[in-house]
Formats: sequence, structure tokens, C-alpha cells
Amino acid sequence: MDTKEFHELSVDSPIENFAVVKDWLQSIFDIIGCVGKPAKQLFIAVDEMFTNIAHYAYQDVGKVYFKASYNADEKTLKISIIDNGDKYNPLEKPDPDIAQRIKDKTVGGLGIFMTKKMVDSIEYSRVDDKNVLVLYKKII
Amino acid sequence: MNINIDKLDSNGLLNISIEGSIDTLTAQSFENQIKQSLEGCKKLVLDFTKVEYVSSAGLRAILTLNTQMEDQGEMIIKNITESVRDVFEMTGFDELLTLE
Repeated sequence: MDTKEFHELSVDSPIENFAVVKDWLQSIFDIIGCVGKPAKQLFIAVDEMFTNIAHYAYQDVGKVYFKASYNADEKTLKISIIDNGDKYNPLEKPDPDIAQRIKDKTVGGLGIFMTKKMVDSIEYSRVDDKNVLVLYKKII
Repeated sequence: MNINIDKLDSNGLLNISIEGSIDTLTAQSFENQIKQSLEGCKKLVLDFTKVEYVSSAGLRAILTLNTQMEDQGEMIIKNITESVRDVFEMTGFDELLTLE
């Protein structure tokens, strides 16, 4: 199996650090040739999950860790997003009632819903007091 | 993200073109820059030809602008890309907004 491992990224949780995360993601996309729709969908998915951590994981500032690996045989990029915040599994959150949201004209709760739609699969685990969220995305 | 704001015409029409992504980094600036230009605007046309993608932060900003324009006229988003259309459709925004 031809798998490329990428260096980890560690950033502080404030939202403006998403700029660093975007640059890191783009550098990976450049290496594996991820362009167009899959790249945009991954930017959205990682945006939503980082935003969630930035707003809710820590009372003050904490660390957010990213790891990525690419399975060339399956053309699948795996991105792990890890934080040290309280246990929180976003996958337990029920999908929003879209019809009701249209009626109410609200956008709350759309982030994890959009993330699930943007990737091929998503997993959550609690490991060593850390929240570990893993996104899998075929890049073509 | 870059925003090009035309001069408001005598009929209250304002054309704005956006380039880049409307995400957690740029959504607030997108909303603020456009809001500052809405005095006297009766018809706001946002050209999304060069919008790469919209995250939920961007949706929130778009909804805020749309709500304000409902009070003073109308807002139209034109030339959305496939990626933006996907997001609008999965979130029901295609029903909330006027798209051309």
C-alpha cells in the first residue's frame, strides 16, 4: 500500500489560526494533486470542525492538532483533528431539521451537518482524554 | 477574499462582486463591508462568479444580509458555482435566497 504520511500541525485554538490550517491543507493538496470540488469540500469540512473547537473546546486557549495521511491506492486523504477539551462527540448531534431552519431562518447546527456531507466518512473517538475526529475523503 | 463594490445607482441598485472563499476567516469582513454600503440600496446583486466556497460562517453572513435587504428591498445572488450551489441546496438556502 502506497501511503504518504504528512507532518503534524499544531496550532492554538483561536479562530484566526484557521489561516495557518488552510495553508497547511493547501500544501498537502499540492503534493497529492487534490484540486477542484474535493479540495473545496475538505476546506469546508476542516473549517467547520476547527471553528467548533475554537468556539467550544476550551474556556481559554488550547491546542488543536492535525495529522494527515494519503492512501494513494485508494486515493483517500485521512485527516485527524485532535483537541484536549472536554469529551465532545459532534457525531452524536442529530442532523438539523432543514425545513424548520428555512422556516425559522436560522443557521445554527449546520456545521457538523455540512461536514458529514462533505466527506466520505467521519469517525470520533476519545483517546487519552483527547477528542479525535477523523475525516476520510476520496480526492477524485 | 476581495470585494468589489460598485457605486449605488440612482435607482438604488448596487452590484457587488466577491472573489475567494466566504469562510470562518472572511465571513465577518464580507458582511461588514457590504453592510456599510447598503444605505439607500433597494436592490443588492451579489455576483458569486469567483466565490470558491461558502462555509456555515458564510451562510450566517449571507442570511444576515438577506434579512436586512428584505426590509429595504431585495437581494439577488447570481452566477453561483457548483460548489456553492451544493452548499445552498444541502442547507435549504436555495429556498431562502433569490438565485439567478
